[in-house]
Amino acid sequence: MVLAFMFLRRLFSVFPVWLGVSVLSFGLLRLIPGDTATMMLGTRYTEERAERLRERMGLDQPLPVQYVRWLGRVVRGDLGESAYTGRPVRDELLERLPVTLQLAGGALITALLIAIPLGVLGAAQRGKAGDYAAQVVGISGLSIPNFWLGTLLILGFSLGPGGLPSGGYISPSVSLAQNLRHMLLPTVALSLAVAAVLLRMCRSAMLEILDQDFMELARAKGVSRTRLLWVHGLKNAWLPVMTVLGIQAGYLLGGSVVIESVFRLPGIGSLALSAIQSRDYVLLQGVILFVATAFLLINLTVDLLYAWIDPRMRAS
Amino acid sequence: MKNTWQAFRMHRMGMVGAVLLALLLGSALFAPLLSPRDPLAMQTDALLTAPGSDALLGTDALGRDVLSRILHGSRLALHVGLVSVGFALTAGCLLGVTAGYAGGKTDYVISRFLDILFSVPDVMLALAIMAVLGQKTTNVMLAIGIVYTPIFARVARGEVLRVKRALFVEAARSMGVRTLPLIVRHILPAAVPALIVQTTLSFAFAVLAESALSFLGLGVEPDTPSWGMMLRDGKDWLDEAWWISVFPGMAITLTVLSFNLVGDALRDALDPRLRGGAA
Amino acid sequence: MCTEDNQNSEPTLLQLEGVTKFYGAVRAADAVSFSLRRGGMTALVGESGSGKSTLARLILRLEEPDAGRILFEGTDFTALTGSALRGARKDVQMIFQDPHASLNPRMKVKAILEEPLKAQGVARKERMQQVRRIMERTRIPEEFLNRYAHELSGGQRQRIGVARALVLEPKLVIADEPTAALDVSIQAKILDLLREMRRELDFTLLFISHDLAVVYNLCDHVIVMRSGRVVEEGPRDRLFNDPREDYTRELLAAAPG
Repeated sequence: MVLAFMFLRRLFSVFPVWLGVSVLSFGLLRLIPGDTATMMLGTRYTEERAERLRERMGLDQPLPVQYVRWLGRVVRGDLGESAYTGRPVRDELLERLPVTLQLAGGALITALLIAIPLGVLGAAQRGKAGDYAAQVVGISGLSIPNFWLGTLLILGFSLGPGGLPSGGYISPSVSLAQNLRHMLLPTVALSLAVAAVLLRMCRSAMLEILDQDFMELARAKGVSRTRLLWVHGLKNAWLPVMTVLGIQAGYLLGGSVVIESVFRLPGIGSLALSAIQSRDYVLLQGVILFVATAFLLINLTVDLLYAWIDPRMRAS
Repeated sequence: MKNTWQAFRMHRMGMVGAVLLALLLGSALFAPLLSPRDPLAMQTDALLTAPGSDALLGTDALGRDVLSRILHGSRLALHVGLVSVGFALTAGCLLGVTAGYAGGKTDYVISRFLDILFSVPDVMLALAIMAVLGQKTTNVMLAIGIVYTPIFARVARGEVLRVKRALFVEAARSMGVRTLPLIVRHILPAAVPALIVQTTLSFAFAVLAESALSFLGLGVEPDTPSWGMMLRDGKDWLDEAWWISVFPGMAITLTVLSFNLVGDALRDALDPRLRGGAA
Repeated sequence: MCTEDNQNSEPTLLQLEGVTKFYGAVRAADAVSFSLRRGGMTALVGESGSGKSTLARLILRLEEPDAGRILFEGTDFTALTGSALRGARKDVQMIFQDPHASLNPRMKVKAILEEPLKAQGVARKERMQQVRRIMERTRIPEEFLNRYAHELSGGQRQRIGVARALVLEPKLVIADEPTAALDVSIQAKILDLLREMRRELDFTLLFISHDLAVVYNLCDHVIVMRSGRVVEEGPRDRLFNDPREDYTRELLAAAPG
């Protein structure tokens, strides 16, 4: 009941932000000087098509009217047609979504697998070798640009002895093994920066928890140190780590632009890039609106999960 | 101030960062003197030379000296960082202080506006802005500045909210101190430590963002010696000339690392409250 | 002996008419009416949470009342805005309870004492003269000018708090438990200073306190508050010797000594 109320309230506060994002995406196309219809048609321009488009989109109407009509189409899932290929933007997005989802999802899991053990280790060995290692990974992960890391990985593992593919994509429906071989390097390259942020968060949260009284109490009761760290400590450290997950999702979506470019993966990020290169602003508008909507929804979910877990965590 | 400096000096990693930063500043200032060659000069007889006595860090596919380009690239990185972070700091403080101080509807409108900017991932937002403005160094600065404005605004707003109700602020109000002097004399100084930390860390972001945009071909003009642009040039020659890609990347990493180290140390030294906080 | 109206010879300086302030469901001030005679030393007493401090904040216009008027020398203080309000603030100054929190830790004593003068548009040369004069009066050593407030002891800080409130030579000074945060030995000195300053500068004092012994020693008129309402008011001797309300009797009985 309380959760349902929270959900509605959060949804209510997200909605104006989403509207703002839609205005931003809509405005993007109008900020570029030149005739909108010409721009939207790109290479497919004919006088006849332009006339039909102006008619359909109401381009002779005032901007607010155009916006409302555009929004009406967006809400029904119609994001317009690519100026370059003439295909619906929605289809372009859906076609490329699985690649980016696999990349970002894989990177998130990899990041957690690196961050949590190292973060706990760092806190447990405060000031000793393990902590030092964790801090080095943390600070270098924040400092190495992901596209350079990708380049280094190609140098080391595709041109070097590893023999992994240096780019390209193979759908898992064709060959799962090939798919994984192709995704391994980009996933690692994208994950390191996220791992660094999560690791630092996890380490400091663990340090704070280790200082607290109930840990002393548990130790006095004879709970083993390992159990103490990994069960009691981590259970509590997980919450602050979760708070940054939503923001990291945004980093993953943005970072995928760069990584998909390095490894020539046909995902949403490279779609955005090719949209800019071919001046396909309808497509770019669609990508931005889509990514921002996804980001808002992810953050909404994280917030709700947090609210759902938090009271139980405190009670235990 | 004295204590801050002492605390900073005790911070080993922070001092490492400070030394790296000093080296970076030195190479940016003295790039023309330190560079063995003109960073733009193409030597047609020395294409893709491996690192060695002829060219310390090798040459690229057009025969340009990699070391000279890296040294000159530090100027660009710092220049872009300075202008874009300066823009973000100024715009962010204006928005954040206004929102925090005014409260109510003003706060709501500004905060939602910042949320909108926040809800587009940073690289994506910068790309979109560059798509509208066009590929140009000044536009890169503006795009990065806009992208990082909301962070400064949030920091400034939070700090204003923290001290707005402080008794000494109320005391000043009760004396009839006008709004602007009240903010400048009483509220902003309290926000300075957090803003210094954010500024340092934002330099790291800005250097990363500029190189990423240039790497994607949406940053600085094609021939400009920029680290990101060098990596872009190098990626087609990976199997023949690793040095074109490896050395500029190192320069980016060391630069970003130095700002991150100094930022972390400042956070620890200036304000215990901020310790281990936001990433 | 002296009647309820012994102050009537002096005109009214401050008058509250039905001043009301809610915080949600809490009535911090509930139709409060009273007036202060020029030159009087009035105590506002009551337990913490009785609305004393809220009244001070309302008079200072740090808060806006939900209803009622506050008249200062006959003009409606609550209706003033902009430069008229700023000008009027010159005459109403406050000594805050906590000299630790009410002085900006990043400012030097000189800047703290100059600030009210600056706010009122006093010229730079004039400002320094007035700062020196008030420092002499409140016996703040000159070498404090370039110290930060946080380098000083609690008593010294409150001396600066008093000096800051008096530097504009206001007509009304509100002192909100000015000694509550200080050591007992220092409390008396600050009270002596207040008494002495009032003789010299001839301001009207509204003294907020829950310490009845202090009130008896300092003030000539007492207003008792409870839950945002005025329970009883009267000259000090009458109120202490012959309280009319049960609550006043309770307060007096609970006071030590």
